[in-house]
Amino acid sequence: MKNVYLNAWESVDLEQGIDPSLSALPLFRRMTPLQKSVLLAVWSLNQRWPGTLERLQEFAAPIYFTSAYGELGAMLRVTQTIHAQQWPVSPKDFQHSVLNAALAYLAMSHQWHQPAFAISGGFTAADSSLFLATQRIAGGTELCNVLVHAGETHRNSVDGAQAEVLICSDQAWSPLSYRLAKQSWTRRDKVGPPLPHTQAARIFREEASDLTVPWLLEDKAPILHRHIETQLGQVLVTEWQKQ
Amino acid sequence: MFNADQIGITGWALASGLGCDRASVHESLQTDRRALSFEHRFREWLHCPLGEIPWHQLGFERADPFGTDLLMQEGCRILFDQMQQETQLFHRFSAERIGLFVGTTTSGIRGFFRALDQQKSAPTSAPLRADMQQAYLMNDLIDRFPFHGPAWTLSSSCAASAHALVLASDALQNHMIDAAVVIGVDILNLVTIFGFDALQVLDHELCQPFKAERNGINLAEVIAMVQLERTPVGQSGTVIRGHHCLSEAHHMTQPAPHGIWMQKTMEEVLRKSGLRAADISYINPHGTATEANDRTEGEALAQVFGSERRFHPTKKLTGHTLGASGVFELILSHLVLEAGEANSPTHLALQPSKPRLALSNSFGFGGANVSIIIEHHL
Repeated sequence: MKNVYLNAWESVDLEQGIDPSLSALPLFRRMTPLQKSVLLAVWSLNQRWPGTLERLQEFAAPIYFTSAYGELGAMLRVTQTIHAQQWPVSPKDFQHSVLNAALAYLAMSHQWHQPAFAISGGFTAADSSLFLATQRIAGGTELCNVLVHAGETHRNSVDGAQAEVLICSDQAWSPLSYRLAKQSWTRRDKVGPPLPHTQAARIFREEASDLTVPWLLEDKAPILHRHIETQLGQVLVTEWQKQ
Repeated sequence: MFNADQIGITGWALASGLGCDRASVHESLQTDRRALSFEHRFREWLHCPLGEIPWHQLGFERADPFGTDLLMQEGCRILFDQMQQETQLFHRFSAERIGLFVGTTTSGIRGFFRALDQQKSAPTSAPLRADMQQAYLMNDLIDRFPFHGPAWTLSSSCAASAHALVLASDALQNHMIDAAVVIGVDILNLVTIFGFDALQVLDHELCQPFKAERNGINLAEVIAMVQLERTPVGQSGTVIRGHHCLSEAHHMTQPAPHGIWMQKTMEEVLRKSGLRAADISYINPHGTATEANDRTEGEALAQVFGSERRFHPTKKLTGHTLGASGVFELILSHLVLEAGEANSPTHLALQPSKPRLALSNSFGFGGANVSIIIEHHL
């Protein structure tokens, strides 16, 4: 198995504002909050880690996009129209309601032609996709990939959305990179008391989650020791180590 | 040129308009029987042909037009139970080493309506419910069966289950898992019907893929699943020979002019599989019967393969099963290869060749392109 490194990361919250140069993009105005947050996260990543986008192009890095609820606003508008029997449905809302719509705009904006997968993972959306991305590198399927996790928040307004982006590869790109030290996906037959875990691990339990999904970054930094448990007894553990 | 490990299709099950058992599906394919009808459970809302699953064959007295998730869950449980008993999945593999890959675009839709029922008035903030997640079906299967390994739900529009096949195949190839269950499922519902109607891509008559008079798609539903395993080289049966995915990065719903990225997808899967276009004996194109898809895919197919004699657009028979079509059409391609030249579908000039090779295309909204090649050994 190859080593896996976390080389770059960034998170954004639309409610904290958008750079004017981004909002001037012709496609930007017609995007949903989820789509905007994804574009903004990738743009901000490249500001924080210059040259990353060129590197991703060079590696033809596949993109794994994940969201627990996907295009929440667009899907709500479509279903509300039908629920209220006020059809026709808006064709724009319908197009934007598919889970991979944000990926399509991301690819169009950067002219990225690499494979792009849209994943819905429920409570484990971010962690299960991180597992997929890292294990594909560890197993030698690819050298580098992009994980984008996003969700519409609808916290203070219907225009709220957050996104985070992580870049993994089989090489450390800088002294700031973290190495994957431990990762596992197991399932207990019956959900019981929390499993023993290292003192430093952050624990996320679905039954206490109020249906919100754990993020991979906190204050723009990776949560290095993660331990996530679902109501079905699935346990995902990921630990990153400083180089 | 084989890899050390081949990824074999060791089990399958499906429920579609073509039937719910091997004999019915075989016969429908051979005779080009069309499984599309104007008499369906949505006729109150839509006067177009649809491809419905004969739900009574799965034991349902009636299919509720609003019961999408229930039909999906119960149907998947019934079919998966059949398949896993046939293949002895949980006896032959450790539960931790079995991966579950679901490709769907319609799981979780019912949850949005339940949320609206609860709220009565239009919500100003989003009501969150677990059954609004597309992973809802996957979690139901994990709850009902002893899946202890990794599980993902893919939802890249009409490429969803083709993506699930690609990731499952890779996960087996790199030994992340030892067996994979890959499910393509999309069930007809009002969101899909009103959505595609709003896009004005529904044909109000029977669809006609690649014909000059084509006028759009017929929507359909299917539950299709395969079991994949690493199999020894030389073993009889059908294996995944190669796959290629890319993003068109062109338009949300329209393919790039002249099908240049469709062409690239097919050329790359041939290259990665060590094959020439002439080696492929059967091609199951995406072939939705929309003006744009068939024009561009037709150009791409002509560039790569030339002759149309190998093309078999099965959506003419089945309708478009959206995100489930990748797994569904892989099974249909497998059945055509298995049946051989003597029993090939009507009007199809299947080339006699050993081994038999088929290529299946899936092209989704947002420019998600996938081509998969399978190979059948007698």
